[in-house]
Amino acid sequence: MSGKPVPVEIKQSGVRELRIAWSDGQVNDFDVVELRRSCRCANCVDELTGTQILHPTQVGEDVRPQTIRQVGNYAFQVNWTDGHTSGIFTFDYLRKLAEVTNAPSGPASAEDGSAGEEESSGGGGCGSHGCGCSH
Amino acid sequence: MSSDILSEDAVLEVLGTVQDPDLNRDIVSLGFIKDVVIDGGKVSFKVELTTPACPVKEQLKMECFTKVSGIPGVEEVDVEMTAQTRQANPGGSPTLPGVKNIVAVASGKGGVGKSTIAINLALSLKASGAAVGLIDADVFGPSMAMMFGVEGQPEMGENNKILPLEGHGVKVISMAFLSDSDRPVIWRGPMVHQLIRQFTADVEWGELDYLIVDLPPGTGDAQLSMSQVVSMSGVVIVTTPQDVSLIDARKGLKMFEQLKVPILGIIENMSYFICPNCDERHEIFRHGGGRRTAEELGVEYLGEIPLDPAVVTGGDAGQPIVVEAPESPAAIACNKVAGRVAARLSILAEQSSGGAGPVMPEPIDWKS
Repeated sequence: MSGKPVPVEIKQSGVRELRIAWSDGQVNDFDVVELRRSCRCANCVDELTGTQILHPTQVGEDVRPQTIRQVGNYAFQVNWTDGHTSGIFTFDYLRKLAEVTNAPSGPASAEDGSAGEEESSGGGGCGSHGCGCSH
Repeated sequence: MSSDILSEDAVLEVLGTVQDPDLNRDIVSLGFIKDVVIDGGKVSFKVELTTPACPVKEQLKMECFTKVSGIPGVEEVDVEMTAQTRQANPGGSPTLPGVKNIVAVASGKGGVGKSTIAINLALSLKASGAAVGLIDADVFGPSMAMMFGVEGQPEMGENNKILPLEGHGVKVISMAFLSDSDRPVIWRGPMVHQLIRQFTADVEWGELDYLIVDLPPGTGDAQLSMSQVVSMSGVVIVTTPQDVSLIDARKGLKMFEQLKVPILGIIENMSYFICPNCDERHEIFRHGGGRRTAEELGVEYLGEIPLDPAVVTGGDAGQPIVVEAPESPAAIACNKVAGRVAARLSILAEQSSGGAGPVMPEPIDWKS
């Protein structure tokens, strides 16, 4: 098996935060609205070209999960309040998302700091909506 | 009682020097020793292994016997070997209630004898004393019915659950039971997914130590659905020694790695042929490719099964080799491989116990 970190605990940690505790000790709070915008399913991202179909503005700030279910050993699937159900979030993808958009509660890296600054300068994508960082 | 009378501690002390070679710990701290009874010079106890198919069962029994016999004052030793199969459930998600281990048998390409291996693996585990079930998930080319010698339509039991058929003491469900054998199954992905769901959750499997899943070849819908619908304990990859087959085996292996299904190892089928006339070993498709690939990819090599015409005739007649000719080289090889598979699952179960609990034992209902 690959030695990649896997979740040891997944739970709701706030009104719009989902917490994943990883096997290597890292803990991430994911903003669920951003998670919905990051959906990689074939309805949200073109399967062949990889072009983004779902525009971030199409997802309202009020979207929430209804239920989150584990898929096999490798992912979870979310039923969203906007009716979207086809997205499967693999643990590897979630970890990658955590690296780029989320400040781990472990030792903060310089990269996380710069992402925060970008947010205040009003950059597009995730930054414009806040990315679940607690600062 | 005088002080030189045998004590349970003395017995446990010598048994504490007996190591389980797979779990790398002594059998006392593993909790294997049960019901120690000392009656004068007579000592009896049970050794509860983590699988009835333990490949070193006899060796452990002999070592326990010899060591306890060596304690001064012991006149008679009675060792009983039992087993309580452990559950290897890497995803921790709720899988099938009552089923301890779900093991997929996969291959990158067709024709490597995957179904034959799956059946004989199931029967070897059964013969060791385990409760075993078998899913023929080869939706498009179900072969279990013929190879297993079972026919008919499954009946519905309580709660609208499908009752599996039984062959050679193993519970079986197959697309072949649900469709006309001459009519091809022409289905799109979603229907395959639906069927896989039915074959797992909607079947009354009861209590099983091992549920073996015979997957169709390749990396498609059935493999993906199976990896999604249940939390699989592990997968074995079947290959033949040729390079082409090995390239595909690698692909299959990578897929399961991505889906976080533990790779139990690689089995090389049709590894060699023993000529019935001259008893000479012929390596028809070359030999050793499976082992090389396993080493290259860092997974365990579970063993090799020889090419044996009896395997084919047995399969066609519904009499798998393990049942039909248990003393044949092919059957012995199957038993050996089954032992390795069971041992690997025990090791995985041991590694996950005491570690992280289930990731999501229940779906999360979001609270607003």
